[in-house]
Amino acid sequence: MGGARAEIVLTLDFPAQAEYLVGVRRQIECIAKQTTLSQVQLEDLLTAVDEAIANAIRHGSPNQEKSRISVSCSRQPDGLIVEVCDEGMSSVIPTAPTMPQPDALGGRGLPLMLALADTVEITPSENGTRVRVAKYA
Amino acid sequence: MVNSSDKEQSQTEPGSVLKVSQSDRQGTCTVEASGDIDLATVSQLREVLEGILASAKPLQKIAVDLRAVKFIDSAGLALLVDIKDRFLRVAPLSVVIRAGSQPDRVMKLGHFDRFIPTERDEANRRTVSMT
Repeated sequence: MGGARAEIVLTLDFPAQAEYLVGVRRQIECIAKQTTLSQVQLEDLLTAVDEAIANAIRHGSPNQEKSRISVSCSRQPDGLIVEVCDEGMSSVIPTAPTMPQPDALGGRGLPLMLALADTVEITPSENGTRVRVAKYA
Repeated sequence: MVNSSDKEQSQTEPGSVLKVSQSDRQGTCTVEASGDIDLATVSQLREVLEGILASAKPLQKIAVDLRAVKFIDSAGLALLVDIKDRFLRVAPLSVVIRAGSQPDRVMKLGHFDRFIPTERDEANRRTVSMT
């Protein structure tokens, strides 16, 4: 899984606004369809990436809608790696949370990411937080 | 190594991809959504559901039909939790989803099948390649 021959095939930079989510998903979907990921794997990846971007919008955008989010996709022989970078200054790496009770209003974003991606790496820094989501065939 | 000829630098455009409609028949109110439910579009579905709550119309049942929804994220799930509790005073709420779809898988991960009465449309089960 996840050989070293990563090839960056798409980079996106956009305002931290939820209206951009669908466009980002569509562009990543186009890239993912060129890999060996199945349709279910592709949808799982898109869901995990959507949650990463939604978290960046909600928690990693100190200047609200003026903040920027960047997304890059690296194609690998057996899958796709997507990195989401925001301007959040958090120095806390969240521990792996479990899925909340069904009647909970929130707290599903990270559990969904962990359940649907093969790997999720969260790297905080003074310049922002990077979330790396990988899905392999 | 990055192959520059294959690398794409894009600026994405904002968009909206959810349609929501409402129909009432013999005491059952059906809210039908199609498209993607995410952080941007969830307010459209909320607006319709809030409108039903505000109308105070006597109803026997409310069905949220998500069979034509291709994508739902945690923002959509949070809306269903919120609205389900508030509809308790109005009428029982149920959800219809297409078996095998992304909403089906995400709602199972969130254990929604134990929380909201959910009808899974097996007749139109989505079959996908597992390669």
